[in-house]
Amino acid sequence: MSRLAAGGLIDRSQPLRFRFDGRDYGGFAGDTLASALIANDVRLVGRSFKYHRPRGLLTAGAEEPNALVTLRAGARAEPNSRATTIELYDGLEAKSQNRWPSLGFDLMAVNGLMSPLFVAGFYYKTFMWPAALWEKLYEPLIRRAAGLGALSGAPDPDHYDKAHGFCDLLVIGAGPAGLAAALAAGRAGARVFLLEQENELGGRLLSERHEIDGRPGHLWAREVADELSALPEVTILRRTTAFGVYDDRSYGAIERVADHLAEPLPGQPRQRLWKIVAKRTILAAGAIERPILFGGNDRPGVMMASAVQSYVNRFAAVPGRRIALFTTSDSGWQVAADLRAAGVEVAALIDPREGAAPMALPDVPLFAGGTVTSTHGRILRSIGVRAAGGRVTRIAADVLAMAGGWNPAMGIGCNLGSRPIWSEAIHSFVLKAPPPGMALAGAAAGRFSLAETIGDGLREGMAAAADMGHEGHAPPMPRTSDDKAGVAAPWHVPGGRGKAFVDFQHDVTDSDIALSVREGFRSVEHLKRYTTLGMATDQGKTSQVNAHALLAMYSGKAIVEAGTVLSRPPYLPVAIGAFAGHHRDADFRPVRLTAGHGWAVEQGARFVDAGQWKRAQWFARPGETGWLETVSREARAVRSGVGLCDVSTLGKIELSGADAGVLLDRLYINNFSTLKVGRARYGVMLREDGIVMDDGTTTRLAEDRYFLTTTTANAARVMQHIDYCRQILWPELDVQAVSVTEQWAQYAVAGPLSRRLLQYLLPDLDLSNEAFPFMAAAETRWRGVPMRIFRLSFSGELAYELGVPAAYGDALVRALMEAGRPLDATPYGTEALGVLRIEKGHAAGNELNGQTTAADLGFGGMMSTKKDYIGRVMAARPGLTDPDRPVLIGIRPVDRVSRLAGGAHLLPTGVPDIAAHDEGHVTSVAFSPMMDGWIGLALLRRGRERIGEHVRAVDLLRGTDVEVEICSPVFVDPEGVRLRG
Amino acid sequence: MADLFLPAEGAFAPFLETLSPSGNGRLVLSEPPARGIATVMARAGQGAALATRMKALYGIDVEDAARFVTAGDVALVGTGPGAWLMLREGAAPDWAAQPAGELDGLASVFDQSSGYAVLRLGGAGAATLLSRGAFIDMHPRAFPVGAAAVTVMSHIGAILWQREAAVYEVAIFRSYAASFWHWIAATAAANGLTPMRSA
Repeated sequence: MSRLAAGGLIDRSQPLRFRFDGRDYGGFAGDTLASALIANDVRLVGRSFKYHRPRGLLTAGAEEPNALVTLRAGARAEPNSRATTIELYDGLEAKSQNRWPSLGFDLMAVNGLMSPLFVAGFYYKTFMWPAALWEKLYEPLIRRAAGLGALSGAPDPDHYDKAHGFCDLLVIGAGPAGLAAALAAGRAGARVFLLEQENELGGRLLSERHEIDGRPGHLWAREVADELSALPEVTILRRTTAFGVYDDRSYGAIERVADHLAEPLPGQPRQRLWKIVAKRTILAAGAIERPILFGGNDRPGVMMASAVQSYVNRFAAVPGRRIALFTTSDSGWQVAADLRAAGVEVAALIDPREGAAPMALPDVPLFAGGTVTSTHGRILRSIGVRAAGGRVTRIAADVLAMAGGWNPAMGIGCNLGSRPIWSEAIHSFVLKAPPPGMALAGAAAGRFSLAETIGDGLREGMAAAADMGHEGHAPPMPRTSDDKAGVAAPWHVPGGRGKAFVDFQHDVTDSDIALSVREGFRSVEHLKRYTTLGMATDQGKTSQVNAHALLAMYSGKAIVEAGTVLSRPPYLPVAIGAFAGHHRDADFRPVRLTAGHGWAVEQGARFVDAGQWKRAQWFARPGETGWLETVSREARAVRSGVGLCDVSTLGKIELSGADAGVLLDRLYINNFSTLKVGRARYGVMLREDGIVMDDGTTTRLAEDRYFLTTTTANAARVMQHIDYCRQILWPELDVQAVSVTEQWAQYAVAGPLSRRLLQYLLPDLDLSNEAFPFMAAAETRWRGVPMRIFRLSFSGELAYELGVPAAYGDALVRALMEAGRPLDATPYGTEALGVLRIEKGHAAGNELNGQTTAADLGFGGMMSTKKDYIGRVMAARPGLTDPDRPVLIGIRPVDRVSRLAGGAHLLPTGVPDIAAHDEGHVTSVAFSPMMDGWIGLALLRRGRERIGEHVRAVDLLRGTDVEVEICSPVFVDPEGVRLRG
Repeated sequence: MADLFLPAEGAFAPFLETLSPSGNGRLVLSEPPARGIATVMARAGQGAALATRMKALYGIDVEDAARFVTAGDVALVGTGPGAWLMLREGAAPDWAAQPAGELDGLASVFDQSSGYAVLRLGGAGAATLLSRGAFIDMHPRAFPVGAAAVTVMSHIGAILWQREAAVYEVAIFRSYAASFWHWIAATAAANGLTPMRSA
C-alpha cells in the first residue's frame, strides 16, 4: 500500500471495495479509480493504441490519454473511460483495454517491434495494392490490432434526461477563479450557473497546498461553495462538463448524474444533457500541464508533476518511493516541496533552465541546466540525467514527474472560430478574442498565480453582473500564499534514447512530426491529419501545443507562425444516448393514437405506422390463415355488406372568412367558390412547379366556411402551405384557417348496407338519394354531440363518413358496431382500404409520388382554364405536357393467376431487360376479391392509348417477369352505379 | 334515439388514474374540468373591433400577445398574431356555436374542445419539469403568471401558460396524450418528482 497514514481529502471512514482486471482492491470514498490504483501500487493500466506499449497513469484529470479502461460489465460496460475521472464506488469493476491475452503480456506488443512500418501516414503508404483487399482484409486487420475498448453490444439499460438552463452568467469551472466569479456575481443578485466537472468544488485548490486567508485553500473553496448553495439565484451543477459553445450564446453540457453509482437509482437518469443559454460566460476551466519531450517519456512511472501533486496532496496516495522531477516550470519545484512535506524522498530535481531557483529545496539533489536523456525499466526504475556540464549519470527513481509548463484550457472558447494566439509571456496559446459574451479568467486566461486567479474571477464576475444590471460590492480580495509561475517554452530533448512521445494516446512521436515536415505536411492542419495527432478520444489535450512547437522547430519557423488548430465540440466524448434522451425504442418518436384506438385493439387489429399515427392495418379473425385471407374478407364485406374504417388520421383543415372560397380556387386546380353549401367536391392541388401536391375532398359548411381534407401523409404540409399562402402570398385576403384534424374522430361506413346501418343510428335523418345524394354533407347532433355526415366514397360503394368531436369518437365507433350488428358490420383496415381503392383506380400516395402531374393521373380535365391557381403556369411546361409521359393505367396478368409485384418495371414483350426499354413502373398492386386475381395500377408511357396491349412487368429484385394486359384503372363499377346506389 | 349527453372522454384520464391522490405536493397533475376550447382568429382588419366586442361580451381584456388572460369563465391564450385559444369553463359539447355567432364578422371561431388534451401541473416542481421539455426560461421573472408560449416539448407541439402562481397548463393535440404522458412520467422520475393527482 502506498497510502499515506494521514492527510488528503479522502474519507477514511468509508472504505470501498473495487476490482480491476479481475483482482480485488480497496479504496476510500473520495478516491478516483486512478488514485485508488496508485494507493494499491498498480502501475500498469493500459496499452497504447498503435504500438501496444505498456502505459501507466500520466495525469490526474480529464485530459488523461493513457488510462482508458472499460468501466462496469455487461450491458452497462463503458469502454474508454478515463480512470482519472471515475469516482470510486463500492463494488466498482473495471478492465484494461487493447491487450491480449493480458495487460502484463500483450502479444500485440509485436507492433512496437514493427514500429518502423507504423510511422506517420502508414495508412496511406501501406496496403496500397491490391486495393480491392482494403475493405475485406487490411482495414479489419488494422482495426483489430490498433484500437480501444469494445462496446457491450447490449442495449443501454439506462435513461438519459434533457434539461434547459437560462442564466445571466455561466461560469465554467469551479476552481479559484470560477468560485470567485460566481461569488461576486451571485452576491450581486445575478442568475448564475456554475459548472464543475468534478463533484468537489475547488479545482487545483484541492490538489495544492496553497493558503487563502491563512487557511488551506480547499477550506476556502468549501466555504464559498456553501455560500453559493444558499443563494437562490445560483445553480451549481456538479459532475458537469461544458462540452461545446454554439450560436446565440448557447452551450452544451453533460451532467453525469449517476455515473458515480454502481447503477442509477430507480427512475434516476444516468446522465442529463443541458442546453444552456447564458448572456455572459466566464470560462475558468484552468490549465493543463504539458509533458516534456524526451526519449522514453511514456514509460509507466513517468507522470505529470501536477498529477503527482494531486495524488499525494488530495488522495494521500504516493505513486512512488523515490520520485525525480524534470521541470521547466516553477510549479515543478512546488511539487518537490510538497513531496518533501509529505515525507516522500525526492531523488533529483532536473531543471534545464540555467539558474532557475524559485525556492530553496534543502536535501533535494538539483541539476540546474540538466536534462533527462533516458528512462529505464519495464516500469520505471531509473533515469539517465545529463548535468549542465555534459556528464551523464543514472539516478534510481520509480517515478519521474515532468512539469513542462501550462496550457490554458480554453478549448471550447475556440468552437466558434476564435483563433488562439501565442503568448511569449507564458509560452503557450491564449484566447484574446473569445466568442461574444465570453470572458476568460485565471489559468484559462494564462494567469496562473493564485492571487491573479482569484482577482480575475472577482473582477470578471462583478463586470458580468453589472452588465446584467446587478450592481453590488465586490467581495474583498482574500490574502493568498505566494506562488511562482515562471516557465520555459515547450521543451524537447533531442537525441535521447528511445521514442519521445508527443501524443500518448495515438502514439505520435517527435520523429513522426519530423517525418511529416520532411514529406511536406507542414501546416498544423496537415500535420494533424497525416499523423492523426490530437485525433484520439482526448483530442490532444496534452499533446497539441508540444506538437506545434516541434512543427515550428522542424520547419524553421517561430511557433507564432506555425499557429495551432481550433477545437470542435465535444470537448470530451459524450454518449449518443445523452443526445437521444427519452427518445429511443418505443419512445423514439411520438406516437399518435386515434380516439378509436382502444376499440381497434379490442377488435384484434394489427397496426401499421402512417407517419406518427398508428392505423389499423387489418382485423384478423380466429381461424384465418394469413393476412391475405383477412384482407380479402374485409374487402368483400364492403362490396357486399357494410364495413367500418377509422379515417380520423386524414388531415382536416377548416377555412373561414369572406375570401375562403377565393383562396381555395387558388389552391386547387378546380373551383370551390361555386360549390353549394352542404356539398363536397374532390380537388387536386399542385405544387408551384406543377406537380401534384395532394388531393382530397372539400365541403362547404356555410357561405364563409369550408372543411378540407388531406391525405394522412400530407396533413402538416398542406396546413403549412395554406398558412404560407394566406399569410405571405395573399395577406389581403380575409381568410382564417386552422387544423382540426384532432378535433374530429371520423369513420367511414361503406357498402351497400351502409345506409341501413346509419338509419339504425340516426333514425330521424332522411338519407335517401333525393335528400342526401352522393357528395352531400350535413351537420347534425347525435346524443347531444355535434356530428357531421358526408356522403363520400373511397371504396366506390355507397358510403358515408361520420365525424364527432374526438372525445366522443370511441363512443361513436362502438355505437356504429352495435347498430351494425344485425348487418354483420365488419371493421376493415388500411390494407382492405387499399384493395378497394385500387379496384376503383383511385390514386393514393404511391401515385402522388412527387413526380406526377394532374394529367398523368387522369385529372387533366379538372384543370380549370378560366382561373389562375398555384402550379398552373409550370404545369404547362413542355416536359410536363409531353404526350410520351407515363400515365396512370390498370394492369392485370394475362394468365389471370400470376401474382403482381409493386415496383416492377414495364417493358415491351420480346426485348432485353435493359433500362433503355423501360416504359414505366407498377405503382400499386392488390389481390382483388372482385376480380378474383391480382390487379395493379401503373404509370406507363402513352398508357391510355394502349388499352388492350400486352407488356411485361419485370421485377429484377424479386426475379419475376409477368405478361400483363393494359386496361382501364377502374376495375370495379366503372359507371359508378354502386356509388350512387 | 333520444338525445342523451355522452360523457366526454378525458385524454389523460386513464393515466391520471394510475397516480396516488396523496404525496408531497411538489408535482400535482390533473385534467382541468370539462371546458370548451376554440381557436379564435380575427377577421382581416377587425382586431380592434374584436377586442372591443369581447370586452363587452365577456369582460375580458384581450391582448394580442403570448399571454393568458381570464375573466369569469372565459380565458384567452394568445397563440399568434390575431389568434387565440378561447377557454370556456363548463361548456356544453356544442358550445362553440355561441361565440361564433357573437363574434360573427369579427372573428372565425373553430371548435377545438376535443382537439386539445390539456394537462394541469401544479406544485413547486412543475416549472422544473416543464423546463426539461420546453426550451423556455421558466424563471418566474421570465415566465410569470399570465405568460404563454407556443412551443415544442418532447417533439410534440405544445401551448403552455401559467394560470396562477405555480399552476401551469399545457395543451397538446389529443392523439399525442399517451406519448406525452410517457415523457412526463420518465422526466418526473428523472428529476426526483413523484407526481400525484389532485384529489
